[in-house]
Amino acid sequence: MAEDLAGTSQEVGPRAVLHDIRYSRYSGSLRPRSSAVASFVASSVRRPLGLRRSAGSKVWPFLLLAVAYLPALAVVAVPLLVPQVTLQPTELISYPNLLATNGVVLLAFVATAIPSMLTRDRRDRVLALYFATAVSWLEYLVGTALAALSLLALIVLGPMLVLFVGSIATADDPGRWIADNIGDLPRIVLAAAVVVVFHTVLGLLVGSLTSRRVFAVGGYLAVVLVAPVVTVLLSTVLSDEWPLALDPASGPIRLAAAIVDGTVSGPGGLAWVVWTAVVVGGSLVVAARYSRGSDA
Amino acid sequence: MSAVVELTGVSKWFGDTVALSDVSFALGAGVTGLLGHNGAGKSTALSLLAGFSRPSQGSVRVLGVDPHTDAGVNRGLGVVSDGEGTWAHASARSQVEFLARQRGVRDPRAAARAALARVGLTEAADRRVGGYSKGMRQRVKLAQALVHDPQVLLLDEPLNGLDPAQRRADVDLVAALGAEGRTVLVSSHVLAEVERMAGRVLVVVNGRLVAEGEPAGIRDLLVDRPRTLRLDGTRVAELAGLLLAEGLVVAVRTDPDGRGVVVETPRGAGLADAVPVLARRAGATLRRVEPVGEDLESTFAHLVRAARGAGR
Amino acid sequence: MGTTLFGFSLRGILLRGRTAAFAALPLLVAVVAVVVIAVTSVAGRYGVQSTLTATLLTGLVVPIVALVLGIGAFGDDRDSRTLPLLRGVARPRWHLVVARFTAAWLSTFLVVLPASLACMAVGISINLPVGHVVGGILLATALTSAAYTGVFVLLSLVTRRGLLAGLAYVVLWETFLAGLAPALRGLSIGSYGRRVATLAIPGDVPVGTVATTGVTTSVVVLAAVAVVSVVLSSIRLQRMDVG
Repeated sequence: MAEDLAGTSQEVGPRAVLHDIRYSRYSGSLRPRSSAVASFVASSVRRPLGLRRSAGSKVWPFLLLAVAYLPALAVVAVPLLVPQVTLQPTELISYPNLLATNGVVLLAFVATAIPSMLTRDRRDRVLALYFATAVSWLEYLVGTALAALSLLALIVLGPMLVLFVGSIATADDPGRWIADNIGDLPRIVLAAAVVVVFHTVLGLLVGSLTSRRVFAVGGYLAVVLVAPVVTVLLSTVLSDEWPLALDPASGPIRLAAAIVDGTVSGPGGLAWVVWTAVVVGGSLVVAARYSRGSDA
Repeated sequence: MSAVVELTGVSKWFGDTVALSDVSFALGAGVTGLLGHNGAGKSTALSLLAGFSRPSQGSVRVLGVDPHTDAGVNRGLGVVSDGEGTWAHASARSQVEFLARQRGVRDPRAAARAALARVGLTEAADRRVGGYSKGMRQRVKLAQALVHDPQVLLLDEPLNGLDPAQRRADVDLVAALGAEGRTVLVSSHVLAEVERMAGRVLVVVNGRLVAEGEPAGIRDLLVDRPRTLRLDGTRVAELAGLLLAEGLVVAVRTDPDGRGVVVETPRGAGLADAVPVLARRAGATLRRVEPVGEDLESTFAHLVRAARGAGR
Repeated sequence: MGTTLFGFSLRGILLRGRTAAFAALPLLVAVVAVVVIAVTSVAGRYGVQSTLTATLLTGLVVPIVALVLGIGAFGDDRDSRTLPLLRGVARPRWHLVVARFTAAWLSTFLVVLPASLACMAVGISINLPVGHVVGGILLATALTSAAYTGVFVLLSLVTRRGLLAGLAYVVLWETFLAGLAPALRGLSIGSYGRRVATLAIPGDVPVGTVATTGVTTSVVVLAAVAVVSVVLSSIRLQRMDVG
């Protein structure tokens, strides 16, 4: 800058230059709209995990993650570190068992992370900001759902993959093991998807109904903690298994278990109907709550 | 008699951020304006006085007691804080009446009616505050603060969110409250309004109290600051030429209305000494010497510049 | 009534649509009880009575409702920045805590009342002594609500993450960890509540995680938890910065 203004007497040219630093319109090429959604998803994933936030807000999510991964890591680590143990990890804990033990962790994580993805923006009245330029209400919902799906996949799918990969590592003949068991992989992913999609929709559903986080969390807890007790009770009283299918906490997990090992425990058909009804109905309700495209 | 409101050597910090640094002042009856930029420490000072928070250092006294620990102070203290501050689920009347009763008013119903009337909310008083406009909520907050007829009023940006007509009405209301003998501390960004409400001002810059007193008095103390003066009379142009030659003024222009010349001086005090002598030498007869642009705005701007310069 | 400390607090908690929405939960329990009485024999209801009273009512419905209303008792004021205003009344601060706590407690008790009544109905239908059933369930509901509400009011004042802490306590501690070792039961409000509720449950039926203390001691422990929470909340409200 200084040289520009001073110039030098030998040179032919202007003796002074004015630099126009006024703000002007951006004339370069714009990034595609999808990148706005992508960055929205990324920030929505970061927030519940406490990334780029204070240490205090990382404690709870990472505690839950640790609890979720502990069983899978343990059964993989023991055969790896102790040669005397000849058991395969999947013999110590099966995929359905893993899903069931992580059930409580999943509920706690969904309750704290998923409804507040919607309630916070409503409470802070920032939806209008999003919808004005950055994303449409549909992109907002899809982005939030994608973020929720990835977070829950971390809790549900992650440990199962650790078990799968760990089994390869501990197998006597890894190549053979992969050839024998590769068919498990798509089933694991599908099973996890059944659980993850269901809780994403349920969590977003309660989150879309109120702007106060405490009520959304309470509502979700009421559904997933009370329903198992009530359905088991009704099942005992009526001496029939169909009420179990109505349970939103264990129902999807049972369905997932059926996908992984092919064995169906409890009612299958009705549970799928309930699953579909919650996922489709819940999505429609959430969409209806946001389709006006403003802070409600 | 000791002052009604008193801050002695008060500092307040949040972690590494110093919001107030060694501030002392005392207030008596009448309206005092609290001036400062965003983040200068106005709201911190008001929240300390209201008892919402404790000073990190120093002492706060309102009506002779520590407002943070002694809830009894609220019988004589009314506060409008910035931000929300209303119960959305209740009607204006019920929450004002509730506060009146909880602050020891003998007839809460009548007091609520009077306070709501005074802020002009009589008609809407029985609706839920959740449905109010921002301006109306602001007036509910004012009614909450006034309902128990307090001796001390702390008003943080009480005119926020009001339309121009309401602002004028509320400026008059605050001025009247001061005239009734109450001690009123009011913060605002709009200096012209503060000037109409307040007989005294406190100026806070970067958490420090840099000036206090009547606006004109503060002005007079700032002899060193640059001033713009209008000289009117005969042969003032010659006088201005001499001033320019002596280096006492840095700019001279003729007044656009044809009333003499306008000069700018970097140091007011030196000019005052020199003008009589030079006027005689130039043969000028001065009819009028008056400052130009001497409102609170320019005084405040100078104070802030000076204080910020000193701090860095 | 509307302008007393208690009345104003009660209206702010109880008479809101979202609180009413939580009444669906106890009503569900009541519906289940009706189904149970309709389809089962008297002998078949023994285990059901235990599940309804100990697991559902004391173990889940009460803590969930208390969590929402207890955290909200001062949490609403935090959100709408009326906490300074509330503290700006010429009353000792413990009056405020007692008023808010009592309002939240009473609201919790009233919201779960349909579930309590349903449990009583099932208990009476299996020919347990009426006094024990009614007294036991009322006592268990009232005291468990008081202890939970007190703890959650305190949490909401102590930390901004009160909801998270309360949720961790209900989900992880009460429904999960407290059942693992007998020593941990001493730190579980639910286990004392279920001990009191055993008054209304047939003696030979398992009731889940139960405190090892007697009924009287459990009553005292629950009441003490509530009182200590209110005292600590008062100290906290006296000292905290609200603006």
